[in-house]
Amino acid sequence: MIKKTKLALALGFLAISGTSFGQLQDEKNVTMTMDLQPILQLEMNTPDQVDFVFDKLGDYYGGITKYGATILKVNSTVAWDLYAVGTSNDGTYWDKQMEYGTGTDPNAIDQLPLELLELHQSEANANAASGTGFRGDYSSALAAAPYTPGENNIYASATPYVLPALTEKYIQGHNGTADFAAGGSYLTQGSATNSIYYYAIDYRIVPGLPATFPTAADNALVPNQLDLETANAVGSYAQPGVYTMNVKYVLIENQ
Amino acid sequence: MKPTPNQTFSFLLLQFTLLFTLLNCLEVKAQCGSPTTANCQAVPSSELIQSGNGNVDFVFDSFSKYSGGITQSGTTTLRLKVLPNNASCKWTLRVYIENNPSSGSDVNDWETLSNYGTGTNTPTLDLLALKVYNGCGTPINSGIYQNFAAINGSYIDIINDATLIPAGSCTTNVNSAGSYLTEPSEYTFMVDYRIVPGLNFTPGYYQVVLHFCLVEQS
Repeated sequence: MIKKTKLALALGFLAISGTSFGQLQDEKNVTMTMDLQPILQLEMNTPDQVDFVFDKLGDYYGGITKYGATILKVNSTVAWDLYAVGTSNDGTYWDKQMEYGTGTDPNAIDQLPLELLELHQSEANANAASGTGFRGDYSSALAAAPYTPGENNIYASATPYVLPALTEKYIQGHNGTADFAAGGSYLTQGSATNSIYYYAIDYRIVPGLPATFPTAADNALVPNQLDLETANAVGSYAQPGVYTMNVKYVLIENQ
Repeated sequence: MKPTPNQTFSFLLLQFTLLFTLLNCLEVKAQCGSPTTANCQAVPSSELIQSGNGNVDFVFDSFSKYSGGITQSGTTTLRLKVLPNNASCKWTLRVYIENNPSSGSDVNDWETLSNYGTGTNTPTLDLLALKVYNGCGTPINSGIYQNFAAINGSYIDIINDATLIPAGSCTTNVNSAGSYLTEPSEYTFMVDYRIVPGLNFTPGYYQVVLHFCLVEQS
């Protein structure tokens, strides 16, 4: 009796097993992979060289402004920061290419601070909450005299690829992991007149007369004025000549 | 020493138990579900034939691809041959999405194979869309892109078994016995894939697996 029960049980297992194999069930598989490669792309339309030629009294007094001299366009698939940095051989002063004249006047200064260059960005920095400087960006209008030193002066550094400190200006985003612009593109987000992915950059230099560059200042909370008289001595002025500096626009993944 | 009848039976029982455990594991893993009737003949008399590359790679390396997406057309072709046991034979064709949860993937996300950077915004499963079509337009949503729900194991019905629609009808949801050899416009299915990631997800290398299941269900 026990043997029959065991046999029936075993046959039952076989029967169930047979039914399972006898029904229609088939499967094919496809593996999908998705390679999302990071894209961080800054397009810049600008002349290779932006020249400021001061050869008229009015240019010295009123300065020269180059409107929309640089257009910046951002495409990014990651969170990003954008900053401008003025640099030169020493990272502090304009590079002197040549001097006009052979004057030996001790008040004729050929160390012109990089910060005398002013920038204006068309769209404000919407992600600069952590900034602790006088201004978080370059969006203030380029005001006429009386000037507010520090308002639009470029950030200057001898190490342009080191992230600017909390006290410096950024075009978008800032030195803080919470301050960044989200991935996006000027092609799809906002219009040319209202997009953090598109900037028209204006440049201005105001030498003044005598040429002391009265707008020059850093971005400390209370800006330190860098005009030639404050930085040197009363009566100082800029040595006439040809000077150059380099402006870099650095687009970097949010740090 | 010769085993007693009881020992022999216990050994036999153990073997069956192991066999059933194995079968159950395979079924769970396959996700295709178990047939409840046997009106159609089983594999290999009936079969689902897949042609095309078993690996479909989407490489997003330009902004236009991120924004506009990538479409891979006709990448997978499925051919069916279903032979009947009786006149009630009908079947379903369904595709499941799976993200290999054993790797630790979130239930809503693609499996991460490699991260480029430090972000944590993993692509969700609903990014993947597919379009199934054939000559007679038999798929339920023939020629229309459909996205998976953003959850592991979600599926899209290509053909269901709600009502038996005979072969040769050349209409929606033909699901009777038939073959791609005699009714190629009804028993052949082309599959297009499309992904439009947008700019919100963390760069990286991700993977999912699609299971195309031909099952007799009633």
